Amino acid sequence: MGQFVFALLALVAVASAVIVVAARRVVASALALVLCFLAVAGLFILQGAEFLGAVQIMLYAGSIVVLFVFVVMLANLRGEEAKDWSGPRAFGAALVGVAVLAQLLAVFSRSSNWLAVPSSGLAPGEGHVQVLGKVLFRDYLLPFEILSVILLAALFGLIVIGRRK
Amino acid sequence: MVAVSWYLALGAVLFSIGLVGVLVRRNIVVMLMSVELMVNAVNLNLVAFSNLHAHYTGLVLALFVIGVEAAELGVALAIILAWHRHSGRLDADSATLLKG
Repeated sequence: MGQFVFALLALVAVASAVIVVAARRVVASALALVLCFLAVAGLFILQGAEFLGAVQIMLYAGSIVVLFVFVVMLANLRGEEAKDWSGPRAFGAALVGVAVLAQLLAVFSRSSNWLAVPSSGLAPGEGHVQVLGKVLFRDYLLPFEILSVILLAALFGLIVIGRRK
Repeated sequence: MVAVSWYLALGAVLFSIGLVGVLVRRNIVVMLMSVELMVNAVNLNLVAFSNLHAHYTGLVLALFVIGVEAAELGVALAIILAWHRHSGRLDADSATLLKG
């Protein structure tokens, strides 16, 4: 059961990622991005990280893609990148991509944990969020507060940048 | 339970797809989407290791990544919009203001 769900979600994630990169229309890329985020959220939940899956759906599939679509609408993009996938640049990029993939897999497969199966895994259900909250607010309180300052600074920054002169 | 290697392999594949997207596509918005794919692949690996070791640090790190990513993306899209207003284009090859 777990293997089947994983295979399904992985297939959806990879296929939609390819569509994001290869689609000619930017809106199609944005919609495929939603699908990819949802598949990854499903993988999070499959691994027992329910809270992160919910955050992923709310933040990525919800607001970030809406941001992308807003920019696409405001900038009024049309199909202008028909010639991206030809010439030496695409060839070189594909070469780099394959090389990086091979290297990552080679490094991963040398690890002793390569075929390890999680024994107990993360605590299921309600206990999961409880433990996560404790870890977040006890051990990582300072980074958490710094993150909120970063978000505030980004808010001010994008108001300043986005303002019409 | 699925072995952690499958999650790592999937993360590597997604990361490579995103990398190719950043290198090939010239539309800045699509390049940013490809960066999002790469970040997602990294998050997937973090959660996989977190699950493997039954330890919550990976989850917290993934949460921070998501938060910083949201801030970065807002600023990046604001810059893209401002630049589009300025030059009327969204093509990374035409951004040569600092080329010297």
